[in-house]
Amino acid sequence: MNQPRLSLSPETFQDFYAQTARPLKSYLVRLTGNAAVADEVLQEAYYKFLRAELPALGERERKNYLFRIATNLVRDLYRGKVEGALPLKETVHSTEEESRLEQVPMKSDVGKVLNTLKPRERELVWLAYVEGSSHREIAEIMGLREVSIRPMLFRVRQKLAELLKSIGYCERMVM
Amino acid sequence: MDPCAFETKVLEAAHRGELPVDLAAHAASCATCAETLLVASFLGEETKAEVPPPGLVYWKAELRARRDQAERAMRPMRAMEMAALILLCAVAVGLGAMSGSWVLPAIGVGFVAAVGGLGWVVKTYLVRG
Ligand SMILES: [Zn+2]
Repeated sequence: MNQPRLSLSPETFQDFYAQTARPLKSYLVRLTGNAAVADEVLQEAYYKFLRAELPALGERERKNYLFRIATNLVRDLYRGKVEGALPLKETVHSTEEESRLEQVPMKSDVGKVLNTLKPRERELVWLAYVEGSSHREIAEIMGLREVSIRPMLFRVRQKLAELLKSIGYCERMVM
Repeated sequence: MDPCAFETKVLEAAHRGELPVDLAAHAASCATCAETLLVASFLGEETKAEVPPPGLVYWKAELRARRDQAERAMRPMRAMEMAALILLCAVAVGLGAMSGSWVLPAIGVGFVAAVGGLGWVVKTYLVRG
């Protein structure tokens, strides 16, 4: 039997992984609120990526494609489509029942603040403000129309900014 | 909603963690950029994450790909086995109908079921280990 083909050689994968694994893990931890689940989704996303028959893609496109796979996997988790997966809730509150889902809870303020957002809002702000993805890239990753990104982002940014002000957060920037 | 031409520059500066004086002055008077700065600097505060080693992820992917391929290769064989069992059942029933007795087909179907069941036990518990 022929060896099944993976879309990247071990060497190329190593470079790709070095560039993408940490940002992807951070993104997944923020989306799922659970580091262990994030690890599982991360490995599944790379597997799907490696098994995909990809056209020649640039570095940035490859990364966007990986993020799209991961975003869809997390959405499947929310819908309970992934076998043996933890059922994630729309918004993770810290009730007794739901804290069971958070094997590695988000201790930081970032986690707590993101938990107040809806899953799509979390995807959106993380891609825009941490990954620095363009509106076109966000639309591609999230499976939305590019024109809808700006108003959505505007609303979420406003919501987050108000929340941050209410908890007394001030940005720390070097000038 | 009022998009601002400086928003991208402010965002890039937030990622670098360094805000030039002119952009800072602009953000002080622009609600859009002030919000962008606030949100981006907050979210960017904690982005370090532990990840599994790349070699392990790749190795697992190779292993799983091989397993998936083997499973796919087995599918036509399973379909043929099922077809053979159905055919044998049909032959047994046909013989019974022709002979006018249900004893023969009952034995035939029982035999086919026993063979099928035994095959399944062997495959499931002995071959796969
Ligand atoms: Zn501005």
